[in-house]
Amino acid sequence: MSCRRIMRELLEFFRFGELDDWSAPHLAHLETCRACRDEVGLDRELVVQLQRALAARVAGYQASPNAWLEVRRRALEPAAPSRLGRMGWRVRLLPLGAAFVLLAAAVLPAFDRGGLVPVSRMPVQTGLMEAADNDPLPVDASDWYLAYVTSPPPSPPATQLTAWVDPSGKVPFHSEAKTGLTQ
Amino acid sequence: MQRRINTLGNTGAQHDLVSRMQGGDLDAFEEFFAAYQRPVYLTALAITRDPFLAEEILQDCFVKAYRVRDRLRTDVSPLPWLQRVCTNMCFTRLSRRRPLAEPLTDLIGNLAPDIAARPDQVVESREILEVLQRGIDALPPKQRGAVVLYYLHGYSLAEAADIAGCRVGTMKSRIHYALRALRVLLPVERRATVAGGRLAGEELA
Ligand SMILES: [Zn+2]
Repeated sequence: MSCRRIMRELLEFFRFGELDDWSAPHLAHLETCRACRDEVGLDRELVVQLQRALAARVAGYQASPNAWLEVRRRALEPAAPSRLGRMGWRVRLLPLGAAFVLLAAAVLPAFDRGGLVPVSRMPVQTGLMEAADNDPLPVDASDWYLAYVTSPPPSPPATQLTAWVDPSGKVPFHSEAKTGLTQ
Repeated sequence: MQRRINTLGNTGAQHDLVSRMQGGDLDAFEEFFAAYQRPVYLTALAITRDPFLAEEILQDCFVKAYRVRDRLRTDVSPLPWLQRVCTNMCFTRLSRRRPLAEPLTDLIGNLAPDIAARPDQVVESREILEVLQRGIDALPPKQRGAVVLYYLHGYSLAEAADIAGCRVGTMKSRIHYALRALRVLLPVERRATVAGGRLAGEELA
């Protein structure tokens, strides 16, 4: 085995506490190879420094004494409405507005020709189709708005809730082996 | 051999707390907060290094926990779930921030006299620690989360991976890359690598 490979495996053994019988040849190599010893030593020192740095990041800090009261106050507030809900009456008027625009697009050209002829009885008008294509509102806008306002608000990412939340049976619990965090 | 086990272990009292919360017991929620706020706050603070932001994230985590309490499992510790929500919130908030203004290389350059003074060992100085802090700040969020869970909290690989929602191998990989990135911040005399060539003549095995 090359030093490079031994080193890679040794670092993993040491970093993740995986030294066992299988590591014996690696440890034997370590006794005879100065360079590998230096590498492992440096890695150990780096970890020590890193732990010091991480500890220093939080040393002396704690949550404010008001944290609990603030959490309690916010938790008992009614849940904020979804973004869609906050738009309120404006959202509910969108389908109506879209329907109006489409109706106007269909009916107004009929007025231009001097009479209100039902669209179904009008001869095929290529000009009308072009006008619709040029309209900033897509011809299927009503479908789009309908889907938009009737679709449920986005649910939180599943990844946040999978492991420790019981979503009423829709997502299976993790197995004992997976959670592995119980005693 | 696993050197870290059960740092997130359960007790019957923990199960009871969640059950009582689900029954609308606010005292239980207060106990729940008291029991778990510290590790969650430390995670937020260690990842963001901003006490105000950490406090905000702490509060958001527990407000969220209360809102979804009916769906919290009572048969496992809620701490891994809290930690996962916390780390995700940290990543979201940090992604909205602009990157560090001061290039890391400048800081490393400033260390030169210190390193030269003690070339035979890692210089244990405030400057080195500060460079490492910047190095941690500069890590990609998932790697930063990994070192916080593994090296600050001392969670096992399996626990850290469970919190991060990834495989153990992925967690190892994140820690590996984080250490590799931080390693270049150590004094250059300590950084001779296997690939550096000096090994060729020394290999005895
Ligand atoms: Zn070697």
